[in-house]
Amino acid sequence: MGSPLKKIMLCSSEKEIFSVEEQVMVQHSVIINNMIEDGSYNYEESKIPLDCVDSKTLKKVIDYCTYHTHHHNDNQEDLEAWDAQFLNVDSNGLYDLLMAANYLEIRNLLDLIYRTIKNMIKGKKIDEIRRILNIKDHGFTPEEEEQNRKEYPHFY
Amino acid sequence: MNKKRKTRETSTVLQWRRKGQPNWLELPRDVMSAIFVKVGAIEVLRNVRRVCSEWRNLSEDPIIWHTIDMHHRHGIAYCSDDSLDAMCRRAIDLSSGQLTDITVDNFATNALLKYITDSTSHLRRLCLILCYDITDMGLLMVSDKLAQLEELDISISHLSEYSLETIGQNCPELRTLKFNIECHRTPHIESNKVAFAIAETMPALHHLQLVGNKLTNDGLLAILDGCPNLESLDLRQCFNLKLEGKLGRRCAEQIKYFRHPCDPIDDYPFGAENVALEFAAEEFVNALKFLTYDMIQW
Repeated sequence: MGSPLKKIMLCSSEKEIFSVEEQVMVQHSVIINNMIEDGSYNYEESKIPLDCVDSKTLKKVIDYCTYHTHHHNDNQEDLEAWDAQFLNVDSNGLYDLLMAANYLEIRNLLDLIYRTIKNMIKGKKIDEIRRILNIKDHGFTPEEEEQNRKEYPHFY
Repeated sequence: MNKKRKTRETSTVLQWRRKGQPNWLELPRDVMSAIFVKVGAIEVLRNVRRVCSEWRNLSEDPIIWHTIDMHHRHGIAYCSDDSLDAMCRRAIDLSSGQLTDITVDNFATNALLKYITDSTSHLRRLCLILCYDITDMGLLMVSDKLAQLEELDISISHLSEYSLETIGQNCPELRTLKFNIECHRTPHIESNKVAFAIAETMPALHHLQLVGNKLTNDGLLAILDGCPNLESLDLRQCFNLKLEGKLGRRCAEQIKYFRHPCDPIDDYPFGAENVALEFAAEEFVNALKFLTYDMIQW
């Protein structure tokens, strides 16, 4: 557990520096927790480079971690409402958040995003899924298409 | 562990969205497989794997078939029992012997149960919901394959105490048992057969749910004596119990999480009303079976 007063520096792909309470990131990100624990972070000099996370996404990730650190005692309904509002982003934003959460190994955020994507897919027709996720070329070989037709009768 | 790190590095270096539209097909394999698990077996087999070649390929990875849930299918278009059975077998095949957790419901048969247990020796959780076609004999025939079983949920079935004895004798790792029956059915009959079977053969239980059971104080006493490690005990709707006296006090002392016979059952999915609804839904579906295939399609 990090001390609540200490700050760490995160550096986005645009080289913008974000100063965050250590505890906030340590509690949520497995990667940052490991860095702090194994002593590879130097409080005087280090900035954690996140070359693949842009400033806009990094700011959102920090918002998420900060909110969940300070509101973990709130009731479940309030937290869920906040999460829903938080993930009210377009599919580009969702994709960027997913990559950032995956890179930083923020498990509760990842799980939240997984559930959101699940809801984008579940109960949808094949064509709808392709449209929602902008999949233009299915890439099936003629044999695979034939097998697809045979496998189970589908009802859509 | 190494594998996971490798995946993450690949994901950040190669698959990051540069500019413009995100390419969802380039998501790391572990990310996409976690999403597939959440989408569930039926939709992965019927829809998701037909979206594109990459997903078809990923759907054949055993990692997403360690857990197979064929029960929660609200909102999914009608499937006949035969096609559910076929899909379940396909999912089991894809698990390549790695299946650890499976939930099936009323389409399941003894033959399917055998198929499940023949496929894996690592089954840790088996959930049979409303499986009226699975019999004591069916369970007996596969019980020697269930040595690793830690959790068994038999909610609403025709299975009797014989099945529980068989399970107790063959599953030394069993920690959680749910053996629930429909509420409000034959309320005045008293029977301790199930309670005695549990008390005699399952001393290692930690969690026990017996909603609607017909046990009396004798049966409960046997369970408290026979299963000293019990932490949670759910006896809702067990109206033959009288817990005002000493036995009630013992429950409170011995059991950390105790559900009283009169506690509300709003979080229990097989209350009289819900079961009635589920039956109504099933009858509607049965009626659909008489329609021709073309009519169902449109």
